[in-house]
Amino acid sequence: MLSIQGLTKSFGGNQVLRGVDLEVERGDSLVILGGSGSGKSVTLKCIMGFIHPDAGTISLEGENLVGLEGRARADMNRRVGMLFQHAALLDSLPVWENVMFAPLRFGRVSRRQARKAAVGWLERVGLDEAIANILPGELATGAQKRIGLARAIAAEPDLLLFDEPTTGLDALVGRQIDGLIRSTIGDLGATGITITHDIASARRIGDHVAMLYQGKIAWNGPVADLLNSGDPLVDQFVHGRLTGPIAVPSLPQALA
Amino acid sequence: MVNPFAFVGRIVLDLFQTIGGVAVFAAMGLSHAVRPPFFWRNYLRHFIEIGYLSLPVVALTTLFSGMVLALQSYSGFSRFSAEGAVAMVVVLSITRELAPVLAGLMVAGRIGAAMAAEIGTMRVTEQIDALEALSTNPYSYLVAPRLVAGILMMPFLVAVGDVIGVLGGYIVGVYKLGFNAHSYMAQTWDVLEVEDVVSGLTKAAVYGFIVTLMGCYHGYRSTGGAQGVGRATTQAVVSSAILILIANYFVTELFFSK
Repeated sequence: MLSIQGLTKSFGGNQVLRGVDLEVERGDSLVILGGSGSGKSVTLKCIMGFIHPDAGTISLEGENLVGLEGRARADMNRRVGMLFQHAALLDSLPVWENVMFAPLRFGRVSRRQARKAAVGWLERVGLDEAIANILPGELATGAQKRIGLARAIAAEPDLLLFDEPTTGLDALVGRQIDGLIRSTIGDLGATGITITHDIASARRIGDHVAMLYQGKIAWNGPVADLLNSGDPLVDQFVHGRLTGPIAVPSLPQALA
Repeated sequence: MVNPFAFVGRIVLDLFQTIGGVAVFAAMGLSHAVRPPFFWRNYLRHFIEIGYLSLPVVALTTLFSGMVLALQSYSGFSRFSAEGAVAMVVVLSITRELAPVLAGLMVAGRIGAAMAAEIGTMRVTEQIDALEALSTNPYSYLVAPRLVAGILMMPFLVAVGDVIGVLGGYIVGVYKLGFNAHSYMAQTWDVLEVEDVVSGLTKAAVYGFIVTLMGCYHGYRSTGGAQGVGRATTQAVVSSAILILIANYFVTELFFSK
């Protein structure tokens, strides 16, 4: 189980997180919804240790994740897989080495074994062996996302994080990626956290949905209740209404 | 109205903050060069990138510098009948100054810029975050191999540049200015001392460190997308060039101050 309690974070005078509380059971898929600047990415970066929170706790299966440095952080990150918004594949390595980066890094497999395993992971995300030796920059965004997903799951982590997984993808490829995320979480029995502002994607991926607004969890419930939550914030956000409790910057009359 | 004291104070504070940041970055990079894990493929890649693929640029630069030096010194020395000193001037200038400084500046343009652009792109596309997510320290993976390659490969480049630069002077001296080939080489060997070569190679190692450090530092700290990467690249080259020229004085003083 992943547990987040009282997470706060400020940058300068700007308080981005104002006490985030979340609990996600093992095997459960939580989607964090929210608009730009609501604190979704900061929450994810706090979990990964890229950002140190000002206060609060994060624990995975009872083990603390906050303030870990060096070897302790590296050991913890081996239990976490992450799909970055733009895949973040290493440009200088061929696809198969990207996928098997962590297992190769820790010497658990030979290069020959790693390549063979990489092909298996690539097939699992719907990619062919033919791309194994290609550099990631030569591939389309959708393929890069799949490779990023293969890399995230290759170490068979306990926790999977997905940062805006459908950004930059067309609706069909986005739908495929959502399906892969959903099935991967189920197959690995891992805890999944996805941040997105794509409602359709959230409904396909999540078991539960949490709505983050102005640095706090405004609503948390089963995905089945998302469209009829009864919460005015969630209602406005999921139906894309311009009027409601969420302040939407006004446009000049000619553009509105 | 701008308070001049506040303005100067901010510049001084920014300067010290930058110096401190570079020093910490260098210490982190070097400390990861002497402790595992070692990413040998990355080391090999940068050894080839700096030591082998920079050879044509350095060779051309030092060849023509040696040739120009022979022509210029002959033209100048002939005014007071000291043409015989051409071989001596060429070999001392090349080994002590020109080969290391020109190689340093060329490598700054070629390698420093490329390092800043590559690492900067990795920063803004979250590849460095991805490395950390994959339990890999970016200093071990990105910085240490580049620093070590710069420190070890630049002296090799300069040693080659020394030979080619002297060869350039020899070609002009013998085939254009009419010096006797044997006596030109004899003068070259007579005047050359171990200290001349060692000082040049020491400078090369220092410049290799400066170029790779500036490339890595500015790339690693870049922000703001493509514009930020472009800015980092410019800063890497400019700061490398300035620091090379400053370091040149101090290393020269270290060796030749009597």
